[in-house]
Amino acid sequence: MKIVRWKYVLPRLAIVLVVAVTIRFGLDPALKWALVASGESALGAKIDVTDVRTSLLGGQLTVTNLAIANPQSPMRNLLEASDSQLQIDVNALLHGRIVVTDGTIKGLQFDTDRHTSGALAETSSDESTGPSPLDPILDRASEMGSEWFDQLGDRLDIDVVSQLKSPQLAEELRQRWPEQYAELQQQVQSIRTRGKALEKQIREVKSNPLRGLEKLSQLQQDLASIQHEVKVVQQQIAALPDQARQDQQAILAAREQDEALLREKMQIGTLDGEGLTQTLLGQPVTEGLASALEWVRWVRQQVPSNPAKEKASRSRGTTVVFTPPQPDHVIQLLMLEGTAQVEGEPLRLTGSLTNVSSAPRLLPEPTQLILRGEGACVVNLRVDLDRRDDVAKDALHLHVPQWAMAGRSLGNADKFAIEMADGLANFQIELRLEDDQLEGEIRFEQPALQLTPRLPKSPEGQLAQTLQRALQEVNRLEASVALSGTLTKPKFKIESDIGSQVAQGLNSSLQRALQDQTNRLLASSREQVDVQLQKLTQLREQAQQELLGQLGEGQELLGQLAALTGGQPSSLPGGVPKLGGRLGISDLIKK
Amino acid sequence: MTSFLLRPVRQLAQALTANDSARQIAWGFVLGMMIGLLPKGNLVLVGLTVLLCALRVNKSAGMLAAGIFSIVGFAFDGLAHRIGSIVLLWEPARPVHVWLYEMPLGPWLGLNNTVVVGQLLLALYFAFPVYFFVFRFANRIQRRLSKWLLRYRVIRWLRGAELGAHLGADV
Repeated sequence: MKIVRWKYVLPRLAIVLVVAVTIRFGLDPALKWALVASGESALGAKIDVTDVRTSLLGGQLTVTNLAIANPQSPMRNLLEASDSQLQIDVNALLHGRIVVTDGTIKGLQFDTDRHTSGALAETSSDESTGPSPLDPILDRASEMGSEWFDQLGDRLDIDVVSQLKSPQLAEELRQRWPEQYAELQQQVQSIRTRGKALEKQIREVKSNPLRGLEKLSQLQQDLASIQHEVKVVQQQIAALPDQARQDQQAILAAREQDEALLREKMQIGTLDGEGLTQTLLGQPVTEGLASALEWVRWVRQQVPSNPAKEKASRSRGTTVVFTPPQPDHVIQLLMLEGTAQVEGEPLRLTGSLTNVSSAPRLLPEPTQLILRGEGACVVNLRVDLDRRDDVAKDALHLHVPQWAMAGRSLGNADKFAIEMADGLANFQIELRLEDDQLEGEIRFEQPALQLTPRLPKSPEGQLAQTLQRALQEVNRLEASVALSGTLTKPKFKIESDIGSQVAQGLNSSLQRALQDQTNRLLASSREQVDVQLQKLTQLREQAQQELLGQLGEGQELLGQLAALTGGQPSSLPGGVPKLGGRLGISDLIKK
Repeated sequence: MTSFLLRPVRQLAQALTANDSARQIAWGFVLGMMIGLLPKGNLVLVGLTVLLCALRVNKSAGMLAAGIFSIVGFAFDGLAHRIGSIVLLWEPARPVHVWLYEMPLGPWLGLNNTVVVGQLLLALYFAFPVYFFVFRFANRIQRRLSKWLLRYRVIRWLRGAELGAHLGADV
């Protein structure tokens, strides 16, 4: 008797065969669709895959040309991988779990360009576009030292010489005295002319006294008038020494004001070492830290922390668990090979990703990413994402022994700045996150530090040389940044002696340089005033001789005229010889 | 609809009046009993159902037994749970259970459930007695009962309805 009912079995076998063939040829496109759809749903950005190939018997999955767009920058890829080969545990697959026991991702590249936008049309960006929590710290750090540098730049930029009073006063005297001299000379000349005209008239009257008798009284009056004018001129000349003393006093007072002004203008506050440390290192630290923390936040959002989903229990009986619960999705080991760009140079990356799971609490080990980079520089990165407890614990360790530090400038490049040259630094980050609490340290060591002062208006001047010498002594940078606070409100404190070293050097050298400059300006001002006064003295002495000479001739003439008119020659008060002595011109010249 | 409602009666008539041997009826009934006792939603049940359909056994007797023991089986759940618990928690047998569970499709077998294991063991325990009694019953009564039943028009009609149902007609 035939045991098997073939009429029933054969059609069912045919159906099973059709299903198997459908799975064989339809699984790859279905998997590709599922990979893209689930990935896009999780990341919120486009995922492109060229091809997905599977081998169910061998449990192999090959993904070709995988490109995941950056949700925050749609025209760039978060990562790209040319060839991904995953070994899947078939037994686990038959248990309803996807377990990648081993795998290799080759041609991994980060932050590459895209030809088309990677933004999903239907996805609205929920990303916060607000300011970074580190922005206030960043602003403070950049403002702290720049104020001092600006102040110094302003000091160096001021045209102090043009503000000095004593040279201006000397110049004013130099212009005023010739005018005064010309006026006096004009008066003396007028007296002489009128005196000669009067002499002629008197001689005419004297030659014919009877005819000129009537005019005589008039002539006497004119003579008296001229004599009066002579007196006035004499008084003005007599007042010149007093005026000279007043001018001298004014110049001395102006000189004192000039000295006070110079000292005020050349005074600069002491540069605070801690503030300078914040300025020197605050900006790069905060910029790098803000970017790193942004990535940490993003990664934390992607990493699940939920336990395994409770499987629906049967309504009848009790299900005995013979093996510990396992997560539905696990990547046990994934070898990574790829490249990245650092300062335009390729960085070869190799590493591994282990224990990635949809239910990390069920795994004995935390998720771990280890990357080693060689090429542009050596990079060692280790990231631990521990979700085995209720509290998420993450750790990041990054060590770059020779990080190429780009040079940067501090201060105003148009006035005064310090330029930090390119250099290599030993860079190390230890970051720990427990729940939202942040703790860590960034260590930074630049053994060959080169600081150069930049003074555009006087690049080769004495001040530049003084600063250069002071900064040459600072040739090593060691810094430690202590991190604390939370992921959303991070805090950091920079500890380094770089600021105090630079500040000490700058403070002492700048004080010396500014004192020297003050003294130079004062000496220059004095010299200028002395030269002006010297010229003025010469001018006055010359004028004095001329005026006295001309006035002496006038006095003689007036005496003769007085004799002609029958009167006594008047002796003018003061007398010509006394005038020069009373001028006191020699007092104007500073000994 | 009518066909659906009449199906149990029809199957009973079919089982009793079919030309199958008593052995086929007995095997069909035993397989049906196992199917009925086991909780649903596991591969053991699927395998038994495939066997019932694929083997030349009396399917009607199997379906009848499955229906009856599906109801009766709930009454044995407590006993089955105790038996299953003893077996599953028996430490010497643990490696076997683990091996079974870790086999491909192991979790889908349902052999880590106390009631499934208990009912399966109960079914296996009762398999031979049930086979024996059903075989004896069928051997002795089937022909006489068949003749007696076929005298009734309703039975003939039900058999005809069965044939019609096979041909796709709804009664």
